[in-house]
Parts: sequence; C-alpha cells; structure tokens
Amino acid sequence: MTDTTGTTGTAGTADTADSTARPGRRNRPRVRPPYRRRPRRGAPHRPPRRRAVADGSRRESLLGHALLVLASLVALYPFVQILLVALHEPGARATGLSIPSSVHLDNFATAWRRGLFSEALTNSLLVAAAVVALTLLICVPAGYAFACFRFPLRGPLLALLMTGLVLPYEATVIPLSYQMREWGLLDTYWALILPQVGLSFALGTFWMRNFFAAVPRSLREAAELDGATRLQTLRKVLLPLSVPALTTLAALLFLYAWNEFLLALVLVPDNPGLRTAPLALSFFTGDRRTSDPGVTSAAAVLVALPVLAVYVLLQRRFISGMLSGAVRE
Amino acid sequence: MGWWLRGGRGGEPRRGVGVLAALGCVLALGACSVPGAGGAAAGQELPGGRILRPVGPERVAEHGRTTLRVLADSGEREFLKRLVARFEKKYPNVRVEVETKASTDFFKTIVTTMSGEHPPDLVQGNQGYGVDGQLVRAGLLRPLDDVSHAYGWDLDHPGGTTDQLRWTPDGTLFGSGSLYGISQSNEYIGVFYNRSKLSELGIRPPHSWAEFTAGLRKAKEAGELPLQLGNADQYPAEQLLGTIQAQKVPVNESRAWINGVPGTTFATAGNREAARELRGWARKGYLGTGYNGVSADDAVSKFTAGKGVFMIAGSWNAPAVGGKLGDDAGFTVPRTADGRTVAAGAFGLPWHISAKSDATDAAVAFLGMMQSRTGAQAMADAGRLPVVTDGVDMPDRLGRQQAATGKRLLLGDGQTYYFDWASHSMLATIGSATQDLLTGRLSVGAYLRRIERDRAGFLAEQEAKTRGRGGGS
Amino acid sequence: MTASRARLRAWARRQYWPAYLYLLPGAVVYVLFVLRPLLMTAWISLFDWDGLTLGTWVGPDNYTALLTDPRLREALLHSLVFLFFYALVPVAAGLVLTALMVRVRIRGLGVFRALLFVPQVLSTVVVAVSWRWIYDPDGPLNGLLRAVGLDALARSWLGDNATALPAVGLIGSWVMCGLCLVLFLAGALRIPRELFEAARLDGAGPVREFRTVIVPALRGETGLALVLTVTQALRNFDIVWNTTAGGPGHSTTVPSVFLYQDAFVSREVGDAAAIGIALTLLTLTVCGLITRVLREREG
Repeated sequence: MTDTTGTTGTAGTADTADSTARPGRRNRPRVRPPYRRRPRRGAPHRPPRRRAVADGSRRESLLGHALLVLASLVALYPFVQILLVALHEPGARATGLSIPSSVHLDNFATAWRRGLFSEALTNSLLVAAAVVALTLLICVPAGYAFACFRFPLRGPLLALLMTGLVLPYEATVIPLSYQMREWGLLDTYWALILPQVGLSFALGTFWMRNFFAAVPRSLREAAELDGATRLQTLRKVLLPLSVPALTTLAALLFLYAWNEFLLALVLVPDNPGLRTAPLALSFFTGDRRTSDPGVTSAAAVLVALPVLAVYVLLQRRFISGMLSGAVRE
Repeated sequence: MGWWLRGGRGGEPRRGVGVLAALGCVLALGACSVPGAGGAAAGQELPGGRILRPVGPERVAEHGRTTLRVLADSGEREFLKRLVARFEKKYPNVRVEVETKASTDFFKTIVTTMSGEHPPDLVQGNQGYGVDGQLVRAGLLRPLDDVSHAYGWDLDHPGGTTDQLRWTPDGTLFGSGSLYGISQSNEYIGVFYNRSKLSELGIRPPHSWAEFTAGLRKAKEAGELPLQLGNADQYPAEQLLGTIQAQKVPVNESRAWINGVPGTTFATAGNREAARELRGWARKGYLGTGYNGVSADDAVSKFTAGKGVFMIAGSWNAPAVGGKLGDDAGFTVPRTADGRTVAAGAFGLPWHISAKSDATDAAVAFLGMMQSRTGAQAMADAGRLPVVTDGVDMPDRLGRQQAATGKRLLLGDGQTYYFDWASHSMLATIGSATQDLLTGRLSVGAYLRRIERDRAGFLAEQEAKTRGRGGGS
Repeated sequence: MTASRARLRAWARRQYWPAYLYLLPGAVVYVLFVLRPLLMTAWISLFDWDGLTLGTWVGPDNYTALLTDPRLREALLHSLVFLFFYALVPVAAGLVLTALMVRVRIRGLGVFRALLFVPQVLSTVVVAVSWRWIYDPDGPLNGLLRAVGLDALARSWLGDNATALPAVGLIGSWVMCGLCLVLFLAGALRIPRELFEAARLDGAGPVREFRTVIVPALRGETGLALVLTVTQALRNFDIVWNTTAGGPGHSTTVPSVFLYQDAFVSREVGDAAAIGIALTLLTLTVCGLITRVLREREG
C-alpha cells in the first residue's frame, strides 16, 4: 500500500501499516489503533459500526424510502429526458419527455464520430487523473498543517486560500492565458492540469483540514507520546482513518476536473489533439446554427457516463472503507 | 471540533507578518505592466506583397510544400471538407489543415488565438465590433483591397454589400475604409411556411408583405398559431423587428444607423412604426404565448412538428426545417409595397487572412476558389446558401427558393445588416428590450430610446478612443 | 533510537516552521496559477483594455461605473435570490436526505447514492436544455398541472417575468443538492452510533435527533457546502445563460452575465476584471459572515 494517500489500502488500519514496516524503520514506535473512548459531543471520530441505526420504526423506514425514491425520481428525470431524446432516430428533433418508438443508437454513433470522443475521453481521463493525484498529494499535507499545527499567519493564509475557492475565474482566465503563453505552456497538457490543481488545492485543503480537525486530539497526542514524528502521525494515524474523506474528495475533484470547460477552451486554443470531453460536447451544444437535439443529448450522455462510473466505483471503496472501520472495533 | 476557518487567534507568534506582504509584492511585480504592452503592431506594407491578378497554381507552387492552416466555425465543416478536396487537387503542393470550433467557443477564443505567435493563415471572424473590429484594431488582419480588385469581387457586389467588411484602419468604425474580409455565404432572415398548413387554411404562399400579414390574420382567425417564435435566446425577436423594419425603412437608412453615421438615430418614424407593428403582433396573439421561454432551437423543432403556420428565421435553418418537413417546407422574403426584396441579413461569417501568415498566396488562392462557382457548388452540396447562385445546383426545393430570393436580395443590394452590430453591447440591449416591448413592459417610445442610448454611449466612447490615439501619436 | 534523536524529534515537534514545509508544495502551485492571475486581474481592472492592444490607465473608473450601473444593482438582487435557491435549499435538502439515509437502514443505499449524484454529473449546458424542456409551455410540468386540473397555473415558466427567476433558481437547487449530499454523507460516517442511542434513550424523535445529533455533527461539512454553493450562486453563469440569457427583459440577469459579456463578447476586459474582483470580494464577505455565524452557534 502506498504511504501517501491511504486510499489504496484495503483496511487501512494501523496494524496493516505496521506489517509493511521496512527494516530501516523497525524502531519506529508502534501506533496503536484508536482507543475506545467516549467521544465528546460534536467531536465524533469512529465510523459507526453499521451504516444505520436499525431500530427506526417501520413507518419511519417506509417514509424514508418513499422520500428517497421521490428524490431520486426528481434527480433522475432530466437525465432520463436527455437519454430518451438521444435514443430517437436521427433527425427526429425530439424535445421533452418523448419516448422513442424504437431504440436507435445512431445518435450515439454520430456523436462519437463527429465529436472525436475516443480521443477526447482519453485526454479527459488523463487530465482528470493527474489533477486528482497531484491535488491529493499537495492538499493532504496542507490540510494536516492547517488542522494540527499552530503557526504564524495561519488565519490569513486560510483566508487567502478561501479566495481560490470563491473567485470567478471567468475573469482571471484571460490574464492566466497570457501568463501561460509567456511561459510557453499554452496548448500543452500542463495548461490543462496545473491551473486546475491550483484551484482544486483550495477545496481539497479545506476538506482535509475539516476532516483532520475532527479527529480527536487525544489520538494525535497518544502518537506523539509514543515519540512519533508529525509525518508519522499523519501517515500512521490520520491517513488510515481518512479513506472515506479521501475517496469523497477524489470523486469531487475528478468530477470538477472532468467537467472543466472554460480553462480547457481558453488555455488550449490551438491544439485539437488536446480536446477534452466537455469541449467535444461543446462542439454540439455550442453550435447554434446546425444543432441536432438527438446528437447533442447523446454526446452529453457520453461525457457524463465516465464520471458516474468513477463515482460508483469510488462509492464501493467508500463503503468498504466504512466497513473496515467496523472491523477494527 | 475545530471550525474550518478558525485559526490565527491568540498565542501565535506574529513574526513574519511581512512575509505575506513581501510575497504579494513579488507577485505584483511579475504582473505589473500596462496590459497589452509588447503586443505586435501592424506592419505597414501588405503582408505577402500586393496581389495584382488571381493567384494560379504555378504561383502557389513556387513556394514549395506549403501548409495552409484554416480555423473556422463548425458550421463550415461540411463545406470545407468538400472545398479542401478540390483545392488540394488543383494546388498539389498545399496541404490544408482545417480546425473548426462550435460558434460560441469560436467567438470566445478567436481574438486571442489570432494574437498568438503563429496564428492560422485563414480564419473566420464576425462582422461588428466584438470580433472584426478587434482584429482590425490590433492589426492582425491583412487588408484585402488588392485581392478584391484582382478577383473582381468589387464588380460582383457593386452596391454597399461589402461595406460590412470595411473598416477604418484603427478599427473604430466600419462601413467604409479598407476591405478586410470576404464571405462565400449569404444569410438572411426570411419567412418559412408550412405548405400543408397553408393549403388547409386556404392561404396562398405570400409574395408580398400585404399577403403575408393577411395570412397571419387568417391563420389566427382559424385558431392556428400564426408565427412560431422561440425567443429565450433573445436574438430571434430582434430578427422579427428587422424583418418588419426592412419593409418600412430604406436600406441605406438602416445601414447608416448601424454604421454609426453621425446624426442618425433609432427613433425614426419608420422604426417606430416597425416596433408598433411587432408589438401589435404580440398583442393580437400572432406569436402565441410563452415564446420568451422557448429557445430558438426548440422553436424550429416545434415548427417542423406542425406548430405554427409561419416562422420568421434565418435562411440557415433550411436543413433543419427541410430535413423534417421535406417538400412541405417553403421559404420566401415578401416583397415590399414597391416590389423590392429587402431583408435583415448579411454575408455569413467573413473570412480573413492573418497579417502574420507566411502562406498568403495559398490563402488568397483558397479564398479565390471559395468565391468561385466551384466554391458555391461546394456550399450548395453542403446544404448551405452561397453568394454566387448562377449555375449552381441547389439540392432541394427549399434551397432553390432560398437561392432565388437570395439572388434578388443581393442584386437589389437589399441586406439591411443586423441591429446588434451597432455597438458591442447592442445584442444584449436590443435582446432584452425587445422582450420587454413584446410583454408590454416597455412603451414603443421608451424602447426606441433605450436602444439609441446604448449606441450613443458606445459611439461617444469610440470617438474618445480615436481622439486619445490621435493625440498620443 | 538514540536519546539525542528523540530529543531532536521532540524539539522539532515544538517548532512551528515545519508547518510551512507541509504547505509549500501546494502553495507553489496555488500562488503561480491562482493568486498571480488574480493579482493580474486586479491590476487590469484599473485599465480600459480590450484584451489585445495597449490599455489605458483609468484608475478606479471601472469600479465607479460598476457601482453606479442600475443594471448591475438589479443583477445583484437576483443573485441574492439565488443565494436562497442555490445555497439554502440544497443544504437543507441535503441534510434531510442524509438524515434519512443514516437513521434507518435503507435498502439499496448505494443505488440511491448514485442516483442522487446524477445532477452533479451532467454538463450544466445540457442540464439547462433539459430543464428548458421541462419548463416549456407545452412541457411536462404544464402537462402535469393540466392533468390535475390546475390549468390556470400552467405557463411559460422561463418566459414569464414573474416566474423566470425562481424557475432558474430551482435548477440551481437541483444541481447543488447532489453536491451537498455527497459532502454530508462523507461527514455522517463519523457520527458514532452512541450518539443516536443516547438521543433515543432521552426519548428524542426524528426531528430532535436531526437537530441535536446530525446537524451539529455535520457543521464542518455544512460550512464547506455553504461556501461552495454560495460561490456558485453568486457567480452562476451557465445555467442562466443557457435557459434565459438573462431575460425576459432583465428579470434573470446576474453579475456574471455582464462579466461574461464584457470578457468574451464586447471584450472590455478591464470592466470584466473589475466585476470579477468585486464579485470575489462580495463572495468572500458573504462566506466570512456565514463562517462567523456558524462559529458563534458552535461556541
């Protein structure tokens, strides 16, 4: 298992980590698994043993299910519309909820071919994976520092970081493009990756900081008493606990990186080889003169599916991370 | 638990507060110079030399292996595919590399792309201040007066049709000055109709404005939706106004206002009458209800699904309309009371040659072929309407109708251009104002004033810019 | 382990400067690709610049123009309405849905999770198109109303000055709900079962449990969710642009529509920069206020 992220481990407990200790570090103090103690209110640290409290009344359970079904229907309806329009015969110009008389995949084929999707999806996958990996790499230590250390300028630096979370980069993208041109990065993969890592850094750091800060201080203190360095505390105590937080963050970062449009448009003005999926989609949605709702919808589905797949995949990891918490008790 | 923005409170060393300030200064230094400094200025002589006669294959061949880079709106893709094949056959030493982008993306990036070190040789722009004006002002385009003369384009368009592509060299005013572009495509607003609907209602395809408006009335009386309109994108109602206005106001008067000729105003009797008629249509229910919430795209879909007897829309909608309605689709521009053919319209997106191009000869040859009958046929084959229509086979009945009307329009110099060229914010201004006019939130007088105010403010700014530059040098 | 090494470690733990080492890698990327362009934007906002040719120094003129423009003031009001739809509604709905999923054992939890995430996944341009169809005069929403006899309510939701703003706002709620839910579910994993048990021993019903257990435990996530959704509400562009383009009239304009037009249509980059900077400051202020309120609640 890798030391940096902790997302790849199966159980992610301190014991597993110890078993992989390399010879040179054998003297490293053993960090014990979380102590069983009653958490202070509002400062919970242990994942619940089961995902739900089982003894909700039957009526409540029914109501809960009903509400969730309703919410899912609302969440799904616009997507279903898009999907149905995409499944129409070519040139049908269907709108709204119109059910095709027979299922056609022609629109998907057209979108795939004309949008050069095989290339675009590969590019997007590469970029999004790089953005997620790099961002996790830099925001875990940063979140740790903000959550667990006291140091001068912590407040102002956090406020500065929040700027990155809120700034409308429609405005900054033009100076950014001149900067990238100056540095010779325009039309390269770096133009797609680095600015997004910068923007994601803010979200990731806040997220990890929030998570690390919620872990009871006592856990860290126990590790320190055992003589662990700060880096060891991060790796052996905090990271194993943060699998669910990391996977959620990874899913969100992936989503944002995948859907990023304006940066990709402006920072790669003249290199069709680097067209990303949202740009390929925009080839259809941004065309005001010859647009075809069926092909556009098909393209939209093609772009959305990989993100959904990644999310579902990470969700399984997310749930297994949760279960590993239960095993540890 | 720690709140996520808590920090920096009490007990922390305050040393190094200056670190942040220092950091800021370093950053700022990197950023501080007048924006735009160091940009390339336009050279004086014509890039690639003066063109005296049409560029033939021999002359292009002198340059050896040449790559011609073309950047265009995605609407040109089918056309370019056909044209490039013919061009590469005739000019075997040239390889044409075409890149296309969807309209919205294209307009967002074209200006910055052209300002790069190695911009494409041949690009499309857009009439008006937002794109063409910018490109001319920054000296990024090669003037084409010599090319126009060599190829006889000025003879093809004796009237003011090419004025839309003429700019003063500082890019502050258009309508006169050097020619900076040319287009192979003719686009204008006309009336689509549904033949089977018409025959059901006993209406004949309208030839004149009077017949058309009578048809609207008759359709309304029969309980049909007379005019399909989707105005959520705000520009379609502007096209309605333009279509009505073209009937009432002389072409030169419309153009003069759009070109910013001093002393012109939007609040003319003709415009007032046009605005009043448009508002009357809305009041009488000719436009149905809810049009401000329907997109232009969806309106086309509705029209082809049989909702609406007429639809006033751009000629470029022909493939979408004809593809669904087939021979039921008809198209016309109703003649004015004195028998002229006038319409809101212009060339399609114009083509420009980059001032930094090192393949000017090939680019000129490409433009030449584009404007020729070969290019026109490629346009027709791609389902679009070319400027040159003589001897060109249009693919279907709708196309033939559009070609005939288009020819009449160009011969009579009847394109009135579009109102939104008048200032760089006019598209938004007239779009929202027209919505307010239709819903009755704006009186006709206030409507005209709001539009005029936008243009007056813009012209004052432009004038100040021109003066500022003149004083500086 | 030698004693001196242990002492060294103990010493290192007391120092504050290693914190900067942890921040350094992120800070480099952040400074170069976020802060530097932001500073350049602030600088540009003091110029009249077309993004291409030499700019002209105008000092604070762009800002005064912005403050005195009645259209922008109107747009800002719309943004405040969007705060409700983009931020408050989804956060509240997300909390409730999370509570539902945590409290009772839900069959097919993974499926629900995936379904409820769908709104986040679709491109906003396409989301806008799909909702335009829903709100269409002949669309399913009006069909539903007519089916239940509420014909009088049927209308062109996006084309009606009275309904356009909330109609667009609801699209925002729909999109943001998925995001809030994802954030809250991750946080809810940390709520220990004992808290629920304790609350139930006290005889707490679902409502009190929601108030006393779930909401306080998710305060951190709520804060982050609010910052993200408030930001979206204030700089939201795609959805407005692709449903109403700010219309009918000016009834759904937002500042970012002007920002977009200045930056990419009329190319008054100086004006766009000024709007961008003002918008950043405004968002920071609102988020700062939220932070403060939540912090007081906590204390």
